[in-house]
Amino acid sequence: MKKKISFVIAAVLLIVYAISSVDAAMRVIHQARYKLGRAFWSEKDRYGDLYTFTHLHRFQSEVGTDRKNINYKPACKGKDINIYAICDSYFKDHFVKGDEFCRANITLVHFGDRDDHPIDIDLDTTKINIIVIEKTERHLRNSIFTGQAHLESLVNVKNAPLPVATTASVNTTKPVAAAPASANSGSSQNGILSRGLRAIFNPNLNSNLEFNLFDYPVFTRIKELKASINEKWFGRADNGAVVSTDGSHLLWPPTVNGTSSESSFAHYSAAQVDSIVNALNTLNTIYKKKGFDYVYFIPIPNPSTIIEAKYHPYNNLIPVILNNKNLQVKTLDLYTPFLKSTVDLYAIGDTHWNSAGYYSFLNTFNAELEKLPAKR
Amino acid sequence: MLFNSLQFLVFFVIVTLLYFSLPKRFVVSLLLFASIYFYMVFKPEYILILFFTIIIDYIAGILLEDAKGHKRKVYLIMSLVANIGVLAFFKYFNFINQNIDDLLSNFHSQTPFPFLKILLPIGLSFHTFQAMSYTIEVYRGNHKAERNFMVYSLYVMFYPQLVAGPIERPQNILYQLHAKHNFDYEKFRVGLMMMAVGFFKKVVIADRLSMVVDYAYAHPATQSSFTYLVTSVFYSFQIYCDFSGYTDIAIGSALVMGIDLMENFRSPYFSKTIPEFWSRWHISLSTWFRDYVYISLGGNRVSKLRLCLNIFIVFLLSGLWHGANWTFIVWGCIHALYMILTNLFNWVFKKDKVKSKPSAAVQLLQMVFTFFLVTMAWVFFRAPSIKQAVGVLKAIFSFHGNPNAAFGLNNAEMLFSVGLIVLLILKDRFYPKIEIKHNVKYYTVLITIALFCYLFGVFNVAQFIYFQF
Repeated sequence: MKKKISFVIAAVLLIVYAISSVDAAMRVIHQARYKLGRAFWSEKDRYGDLYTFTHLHRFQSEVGTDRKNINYKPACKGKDINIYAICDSYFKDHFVKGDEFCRANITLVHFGDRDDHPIDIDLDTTKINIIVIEKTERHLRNSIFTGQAHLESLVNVKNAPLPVATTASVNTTKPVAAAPASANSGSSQNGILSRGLRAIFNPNLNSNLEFNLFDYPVFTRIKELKASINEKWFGRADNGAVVSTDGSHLLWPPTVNGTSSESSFAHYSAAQVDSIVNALNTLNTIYKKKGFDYVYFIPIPNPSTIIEAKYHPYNNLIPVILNNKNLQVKTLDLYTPFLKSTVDLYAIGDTHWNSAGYYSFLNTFNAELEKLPAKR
Repeated sequence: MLFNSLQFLVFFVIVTLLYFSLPKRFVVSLLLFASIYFYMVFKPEYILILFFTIIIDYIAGILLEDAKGHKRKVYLIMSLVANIGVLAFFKYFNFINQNIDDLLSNFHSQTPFPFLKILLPIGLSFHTFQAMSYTIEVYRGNHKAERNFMVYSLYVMFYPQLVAGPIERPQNILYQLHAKHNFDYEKFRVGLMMMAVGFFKKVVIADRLSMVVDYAYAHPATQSSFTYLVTSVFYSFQIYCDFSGYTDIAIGSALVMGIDLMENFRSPYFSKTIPEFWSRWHISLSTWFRDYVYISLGGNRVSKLRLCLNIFIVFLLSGLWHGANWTFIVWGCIHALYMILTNLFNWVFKKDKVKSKPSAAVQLLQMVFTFFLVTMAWVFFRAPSIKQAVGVLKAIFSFHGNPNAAFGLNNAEMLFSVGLIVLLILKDRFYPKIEIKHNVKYYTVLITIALFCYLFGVFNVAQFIYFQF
């Protein structure tokens, strides 16, 4: 009997271990736990990603509930706009519901991680079709230029007026940003081997096991106790986050250091700005040729850009790009209204905005959408 | 797979539960596949190197036993050359090449060999020595050749001791791998407690002390004589807790399954002499060198001059075994010097003829002095270069202050670290083996240690120190 019980327990643990090795299975579990309700949410979903690094209790806020309760109804009526948003987690991670955009339906296309898959669409030419390229400030210098070729092919229009030559098809000598492997991609033997090895020897296994076994509310208090001991007795905290100068927020460390390309305070060159502008202009041209009426570029300021504004000189990356005289794409300036806001727009223990920040964006973007002339 | 990881804890529970629930005929296969997986987690392709040496030594062992005359020596040499060749290539190729290049640069030339991007297979030095001890013991007739390929493979790859020892002997472990071990509650309790203590030593003590040590070596401008002295003492305990902690986890996890691995540490910092230190520190390695190098060179049945040379060779090789860097070689030579001077002292003052035991005060002084000598030698072990090691020692003995002197931890954590060292010393002195007889008390102590490991453990340090060997 004892042997049978041992065997069953071992088998269950082995299944948990095996599931934790497979990224696709973990994504399914993550989504399933989210749908089950707050009691099953991960700490990251409940309290924020930066809180999860430090477990400092004073930075615990109901990030997940805040996002779930987003309820924004635009005043304008009618749906004559289709928005295709090439976006990151500022849109995708439970923020955008779909009905909060003035006159518009929205389709999200995630850029820059494992959920990154191109979509094929038929444009409804009776409506205004808009491509939105939304990117958080800390990735601007790395993603827009280096990922340009990939960005061009994320939204493919089947009924485009003419075949559109993209950078990858025209200039084979230019390096193409590698698109993440999708489940349907033709795979060489090396692809199968490396995927198999990754499934067996997944480098994320420890964090996945932690998620499956210990990422539940009952364990949060003990994690906070450890963090409290380290902070109060030893003056240390996990280096996955830093505390803002005024002590109000946790910030992502690369966005505040003096050298990182993600930083709000690090130097950048004119050439870097030009490469971003040129990449955006190329995207503007290509998507217009595909049949889109407008291409919008929406950079989201780093939390450190706004929260640390009083303490450190901002490098002005967003205003410099938006005010570049060569920039042809339409833009949405969020830096100015965010800086002026008297309300806290970012979650205290997360790298993203909170519902107030999202509403501020919606107010600004919907004002822009409302002004667009109707299609004749 | 690191011992101080959630992955290992889950892996260990799965393997142990299956070990006791599967029929005997599956046990060797289970442990072997678990060990293969354990090793491949570090770098999957390096399992091929391990299998290469396993196949060579397995065949060599059988051929050795069946052969007669000079052929036996041929097979032994074949096995040793294969093992040492693999070790030399992966561990010393670039080091030797760099030294050739440095030498030739004096003649405005450079090495003709390319520098290779070689990643050292983890635990190579350990399982190579363990494999070599097998063929040597078969050659000497002390052990029969293992005919079961899977059992032999498991002898080399048994996961608790695969990457950082103890370096086992075939006489101790092969027969245990053939046996089916029924659940032994006593061994289970002792094994679990050893694992808990091992984890405590590693994540609470060693990884905490490493923050002071790493800071000092990375920021020499913030160091004074005193801070360097404290850092050096901390490093002595860091390396002890890191390595003995790993060994405790290895021995404990094997013991839980009923398998006894050899003792590897016996409170080494209570040693009163350097020879005694080497009978208590990394026992499996020091006995390996004694049995297969020192005794082969003649041991102490030679002239005094030859004895000194033998000692020098053994410790030079020991230093080299620890790493492909001149600092390890110098460290080995320092200990050779200590051992030779100890022998000289004994010969001159005929110390071995003294029968009476020294007083407690004298013994304490001897321990402190021996600890001091070992700590000063450890500086070469830790420093990335001889220049920095010499700089540290110069700083210690210059008795200079520094207005910018700082440790890597705040005062509270420094005091806590000192408290942990005191706790360790008391534990080694009064409780070398924690044996708790009553169930409730046992589980209370076990859970308390586990809780302390979590609450006070430092979890952002990557590897055990000896993994690099």
